[in-house]
Amino acid sequence: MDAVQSILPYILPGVLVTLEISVGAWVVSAALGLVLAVMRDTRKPLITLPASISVEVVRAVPQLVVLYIVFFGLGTLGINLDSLTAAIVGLGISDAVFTAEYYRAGFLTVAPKQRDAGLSLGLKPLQVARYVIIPQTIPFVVPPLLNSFVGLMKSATLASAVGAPEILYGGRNYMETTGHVAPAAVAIMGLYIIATVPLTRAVRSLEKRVQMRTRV
Amino acid sequence: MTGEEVLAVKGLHKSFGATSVLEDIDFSIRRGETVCIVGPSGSGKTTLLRCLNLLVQPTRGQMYFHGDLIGDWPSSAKPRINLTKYRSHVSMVFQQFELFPHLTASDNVSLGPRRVLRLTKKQADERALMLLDRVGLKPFASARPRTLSGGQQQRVAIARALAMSPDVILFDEPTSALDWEMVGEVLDIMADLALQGMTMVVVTHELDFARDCADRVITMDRGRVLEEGRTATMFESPTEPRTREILGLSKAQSRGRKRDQRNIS
Ligand SMILES: Nc1ncnc2c1ncn2[C@@H]1O[C@H](COP(=O)(O)OP(=O)(O)O)[C@@H](O)[C@H]1O
Ligand SMILES: [Mg+2]
Repeated sequence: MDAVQSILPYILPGVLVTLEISVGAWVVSAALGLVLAVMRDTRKPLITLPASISVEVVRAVPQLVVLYIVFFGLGTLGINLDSLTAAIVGLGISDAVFTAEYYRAGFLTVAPKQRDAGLSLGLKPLQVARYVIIPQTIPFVVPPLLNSFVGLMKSATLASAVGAPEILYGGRNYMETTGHVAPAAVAIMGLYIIATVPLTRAVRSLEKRVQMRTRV
Repeated sequence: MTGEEVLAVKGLHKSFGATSVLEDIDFSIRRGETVCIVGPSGSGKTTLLRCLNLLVQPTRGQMYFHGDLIGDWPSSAKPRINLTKYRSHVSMVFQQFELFPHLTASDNVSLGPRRVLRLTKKQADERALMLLDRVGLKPFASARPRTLSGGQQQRVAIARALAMSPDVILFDEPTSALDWEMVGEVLDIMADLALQGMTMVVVTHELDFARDCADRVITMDRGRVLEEGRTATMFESPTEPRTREILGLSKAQSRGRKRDQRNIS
């Protein structure tokens, strides 16, 4: 119990930072992923090509490397982001290439004739996306997006590499200050299990509900 | 009874890759006219309507809207007209209704007026209610499409098309996906529209509707126009033997098969 009490001051501020990073990166990922998916959906080479190339490139590069590029690389270009912002942007970009695929799979569930129906009203292609296609994909896209949030909570530990004071960063401080390893490891593991297991289960039951609804 | 030319194509061809789907189509429709297009499955009727609405671009040919040349393929890579604006004047009713499943009946109808015609929400909602009333579905204004019958869904789709105050409505086999007992309720609305002077192109297999409501009938086969003429002429003295078959006039078919359909409604 003493160990727990002595470790909390190190880790609790980190919990907040981890949440900030994962929520922030999630928002970046959801928004950027949508933009990429809509770009790839236009079937105009001038628009789809840049989107496809950036997706392929980012997908090929490890998250930590993307994080370094955003933090150190942009710094050499004179764009200095603090470690928290860099973590949000870097992890968000890494994740967006996967989110884009979720949206794309969602778009495929909408019949092409729905697009015709929207266009034949005189809606512009982006309006068709916004008012006709995207709303219909929401039930299919929400579960994988929530899963990606769980993933980002875990990836947030990478942010310690650029000095963002998240959970792992706090834990390491504790280890270095006290010389004890086990309590920090157990506390961090415990916190992650508490945060992610219920969420993962909730997503799974949501997925089942979506499948049920689409069958009828 | 009919006015100036609304929409016309001359020498229209359409191919998908190496497959030629439409060949040398001449077509025009005047204000207030109802033109029925009849032909076997695969003859290119849907593709013709999609060309007329510029959902696909013709491969060759000229297209005129109110007498103005709006496209000349293949020389004009793009139509000489604002596509979205053009489409808002040319409404479409689909075989499978294609209502937006996430929107209520009323929102299906008001989407175009709000986002394309830029009416206020209140004005668009009022228009939607008025049109749903016109197709007999006011009580279903807040129903989702999947809770409606096929006939009701198609009536909502007609209200959605009308909501744009279009110059012409293109119907693509509007009753083919319906159970027989719902065919009548949709045809009755279309017959009313024809009487009220709406300009309509109707692809259909409902020959009695064509006979009663069309000013002109066009028969199509294998991507070509077989024959066209005034409705009475087409049904009474067509020149092409194939037209007789398509319009159900050949001896084998006329033996009793037809008359029963419309009398049910
Ligand atoms: N997008 C397309 N790509 C390739 N072939 C098509 C396409 N659309 C239609 N076709 C072909 O064109 C022909 C005519 O189809 P369609 O216009 O749907 O005929 P109809 O409506 O008279 O049944 C068919 O052989 C069909 O396979
Ligand atoms: Mg068809």
